[in-house]
Amino acid sequence: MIFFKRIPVLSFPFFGLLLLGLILCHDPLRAADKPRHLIKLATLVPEGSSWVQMVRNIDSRVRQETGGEVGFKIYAGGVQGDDDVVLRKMRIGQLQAAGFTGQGITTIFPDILALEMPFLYNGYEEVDYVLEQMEDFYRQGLAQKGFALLGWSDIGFVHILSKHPIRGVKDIHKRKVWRLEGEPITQVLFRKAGVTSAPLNIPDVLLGLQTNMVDVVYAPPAAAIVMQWFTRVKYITELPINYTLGALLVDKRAFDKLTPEHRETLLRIAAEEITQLTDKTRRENEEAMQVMLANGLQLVSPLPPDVETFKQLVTDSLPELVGKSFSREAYDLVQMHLNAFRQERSGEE
Amino acid sequence: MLLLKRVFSAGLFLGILLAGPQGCASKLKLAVAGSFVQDVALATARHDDIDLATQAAPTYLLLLEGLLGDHPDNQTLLTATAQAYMGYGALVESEDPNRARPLYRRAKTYGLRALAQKGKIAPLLDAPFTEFSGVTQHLKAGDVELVFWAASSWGSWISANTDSMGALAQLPKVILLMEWVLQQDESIQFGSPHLFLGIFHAALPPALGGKPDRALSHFNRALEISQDQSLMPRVLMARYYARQIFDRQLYESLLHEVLALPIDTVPELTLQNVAAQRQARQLLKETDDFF
Repeated sequence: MIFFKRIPVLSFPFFGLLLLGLILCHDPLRAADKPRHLIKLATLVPEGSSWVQMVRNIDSRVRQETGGEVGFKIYAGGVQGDDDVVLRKMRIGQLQAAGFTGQGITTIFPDILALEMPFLYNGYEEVDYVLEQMEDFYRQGLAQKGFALLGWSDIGFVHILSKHPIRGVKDIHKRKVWRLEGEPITQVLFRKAGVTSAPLNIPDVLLGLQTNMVDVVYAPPAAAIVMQWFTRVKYITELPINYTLGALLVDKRAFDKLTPEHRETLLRIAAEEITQLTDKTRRENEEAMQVMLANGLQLVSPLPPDVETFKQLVTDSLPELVGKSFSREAYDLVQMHLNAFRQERSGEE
Repeated sequence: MLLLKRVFSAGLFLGILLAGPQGCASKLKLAVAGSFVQDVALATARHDDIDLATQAAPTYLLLLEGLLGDHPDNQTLLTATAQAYMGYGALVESEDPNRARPLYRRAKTYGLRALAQKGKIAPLLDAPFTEFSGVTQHLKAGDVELVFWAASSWGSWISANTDSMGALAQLPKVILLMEWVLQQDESIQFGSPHLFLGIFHAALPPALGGKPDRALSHFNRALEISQDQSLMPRVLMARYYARQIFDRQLYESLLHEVLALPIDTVPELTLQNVAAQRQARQLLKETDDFF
């Protein structure tokens, strides 16, 4: 029934393709006059993603409100290198700002880990409360390292994805568990649990799953889709393990060169845009969870005693982490705010 | 008059082929119109006026959909309609990305409907990835055009919906199909499967799983296959690969080559090459903003 031999190319081989997280939307880069204070910003997050779009919004609003005095030049998609390289370029003044991933900000200021401990929060309300209360602590800590904090990037709660159902600690004993190379918390946790874990970098995890080098991994739902890990597992455990975040930082030397009014403008606009994006990221993670279930992943619901085995493991690991991987002060402050929040809540009920 | 004659004679000829022993008016109509549609598509592809082609396209799309009304299961017609919607989407996208979305949605719908005409494949399309990955067992060498256009239209829809987790989750399926196409016939549409996979591997930084080396070999192979006939490989290589590895010199030289090469070595690529040159000029303008 071939009556068209071939329709020649009315069609174009897809002009714009893909991806990650995100888009290659065709928003042409905006050519604009060079502002007096040009802040060169780099990030691993790809062009067209909602995160990069947010930075573009910050840029255009800041340019507008400072009469074109302050603006950004954005290097997305890791074109300036990974977090380590970007950090080096910031130190020598080639770049003035960055959207760091969790790995990057932890290198700069390990106390960030105190915000990312497993089973710390019961939901986003607690996350938001603690982040707000801890803002001064982290702002000052980062300032001492030479950075101004514009805001946190919500990445989401990590979930376990696996080829066999994982309910409690006993289920990971016989398994080949992935661990992010160089990440201190999981290193201690898995050692305490007597689990042999396979250290791999993010880009090697998909192949690790394909070749059965690992059969238990963990990620926020949206990341599991974007990096395609969900195609190589069967189960997802209904248990938010730990909250993860990144940060938008500006080199303090560049930040301090701005007038106080411009600094205030930049901080205010960034805070507004970041709040909006955080809502969006959280919706995306929820959507991602539903999409994975619709794609055949099975939800594994651990019973409270199973959850307890994970929590106990974390408790057992605390002496090796607190005061070592991050400061006791950060840990105590986070705990104090959480307790205050929970007491206030229980008082209301 | 000459055109009508050609349409008629070609249609008659095809009609005889198609109608077979039972003979049927609707098949004859399909054959006549089919030949006409093919002529329009050819004329469009050979045109050098993008605006004219863009304005003319909707009529052509409606004609195809009209034919589909009578022949909803005709695989060739479904594929042609998917192609046409993709092409039109690509034409309007740079001006109005929101307008392109519903066009790509239709392209995907028709492309997958064409693929679903193969009975064993239909239930796999929405299945989990592990099940879907068995799809290639049901494909044979003769399906390569069908699969290429289904995967392309599916991919174009995903690229316009990357803010949707549901859309992104379908990408692994498209990649799997395109890798199969590449194994069968890497030279289809001037090496387009290489372009598709080149863009895919260049889309992420290495720290998040991107593979610039693999992207480079795909782009180089696409350049070899298309020689200098299609200008699109250079535009896509500049935009997706040269930017990702932050190579300004490569970026500029690829785009300048696009502007220097003839657009009509292959007449059917004229419109596409005009579009490629337009994109190249735009990308060159953005050079300082990017690097």
